[in-house]
Amino acid sequence: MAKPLMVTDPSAGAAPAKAQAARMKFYVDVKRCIECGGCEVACKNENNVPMGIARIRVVTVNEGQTGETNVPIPCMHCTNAPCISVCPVDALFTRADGIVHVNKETCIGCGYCGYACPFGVPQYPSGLAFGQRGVMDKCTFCAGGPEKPLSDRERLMYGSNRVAEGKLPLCASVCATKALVAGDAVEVEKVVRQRVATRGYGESNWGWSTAYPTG
Amino acid sequence: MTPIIVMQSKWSDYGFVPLYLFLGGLAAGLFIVAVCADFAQAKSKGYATVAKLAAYTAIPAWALAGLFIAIHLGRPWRGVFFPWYFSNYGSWMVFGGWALLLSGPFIVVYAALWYFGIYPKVRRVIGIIGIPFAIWFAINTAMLLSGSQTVPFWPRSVLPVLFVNSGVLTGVAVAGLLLLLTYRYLPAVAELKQSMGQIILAGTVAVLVFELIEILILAFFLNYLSALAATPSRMGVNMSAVVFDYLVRGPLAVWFWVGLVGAGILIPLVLGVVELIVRRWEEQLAGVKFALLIVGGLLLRFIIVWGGEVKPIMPPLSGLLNPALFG
Repeated sequence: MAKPLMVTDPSAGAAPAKAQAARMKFYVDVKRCIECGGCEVACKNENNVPMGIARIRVVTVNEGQTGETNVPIPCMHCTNAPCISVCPVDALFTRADGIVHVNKETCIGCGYCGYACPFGVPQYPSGLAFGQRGVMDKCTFCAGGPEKPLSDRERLMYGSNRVAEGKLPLCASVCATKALVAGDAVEVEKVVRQRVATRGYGESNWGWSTAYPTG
Repeated sequence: MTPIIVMQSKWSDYGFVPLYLFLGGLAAGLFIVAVCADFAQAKSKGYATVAKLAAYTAIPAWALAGLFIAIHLGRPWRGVFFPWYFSNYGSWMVFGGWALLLSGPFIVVYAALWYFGIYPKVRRVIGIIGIPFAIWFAINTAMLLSGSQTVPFWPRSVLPVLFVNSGVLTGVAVAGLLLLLTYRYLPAVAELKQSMGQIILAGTVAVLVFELIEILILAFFLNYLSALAATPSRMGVNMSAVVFDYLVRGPLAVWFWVGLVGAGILIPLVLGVVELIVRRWEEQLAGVKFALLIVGGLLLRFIIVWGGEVKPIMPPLSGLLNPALFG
């Protein structure tokens, strides 16, 4: 049996081979998220995210009702990202490995991407003079930004660059229930297919043991 | 399902964007009213005053619209000098910037020609050429919203025509209210007093026509949202239904029914009909009607922006057996 969890397993140490050619993706399994907030804390800590900005959030839908669902929301690094298509100054772009980045030098802070993004991912600093929005900040897939990789400037402006170090995003790496899966789209898809197949046997078969058939 | 506002920063936070949408539509509407009144001079000289008031007022409306849309940016100066910075011509914000910039010269030159009282034929030609630019500007205030693509409350088939119609409606209202408030102090007061009844009647008829159009558009809008609500969403959450409820029964209901539909449309409509039937207290009735229409136009922009903050949350909530892979 394949070991799909390796795509986000920090003990595995390395990003998938051919990372530069990969199409990096997150998968959010809303059936597994327990709203522990570990991803949010890890992201804040790893990337020195400023106050008022959350590069990943766990949103609870139908709280206290039947069907309550917790949804971790990082940037999904869409293949056809609507944020890119609406940005008037081309501050957003897709890297060769599929990661959607923002260039903070170019961004004018119009907030248009915030409306285009189906996940509400773009964030803006608050508390600036005259209510100014500042420039956009978002999940970088822990891949830094359009600066020299692993430089001080990159770390200051965009946070850590774990991908350049051969690692995967910290939020997915620390996720206790593997609700967040990150990595090469091919590998992530294997995880998704396996979970679908596992759950396809029926509701009664649902449980931690069947969710992790390989143990 | 609970409506979800997932955005951390909203355009309504400081009101600059809704004000831009309102003032942009108003500037376009005032320009159109000014040109129409210019051509109506043949019927009554009083229309020249209406044209002047509308033309002059269009300038601050246009300038403030530009100021507000620039101020809301994180880097306002890059917005002011947008031709140097805006590069993505697939974005409606870029077209909006050009629409604002290109409509400006027509608005300013047209008003200047009125002010100096020269070249009336040139003025009218500029007015005629400028009208498509003004309409384009008003349409772009709507397309700024609709162009964001993922907001269920901002359909491309409704907002442009709604905003253009509302812009003309508020243009008539502002020009009419200004005329009512100032005509006693203007040099042409004697002439105006004679033609005031005719001008108010024309304004009332115009307002009634555009109000009826607005009611039809809003009815189509509600039908559009509710019809989509009947269609199951592939995401498992029907955001059209959520937004429809948010507007007609949720947090926006009071603003929508009492503010926009009641005070902003129906009361002015009734006042207009009463005015036409009774033929008394025209100035008072028209004054109240025009003021309410302006409030209605402003509320419309705020409601549209507020409603746009309720967005679909895309992860597969029904996803036990069907967890889609994004991207």
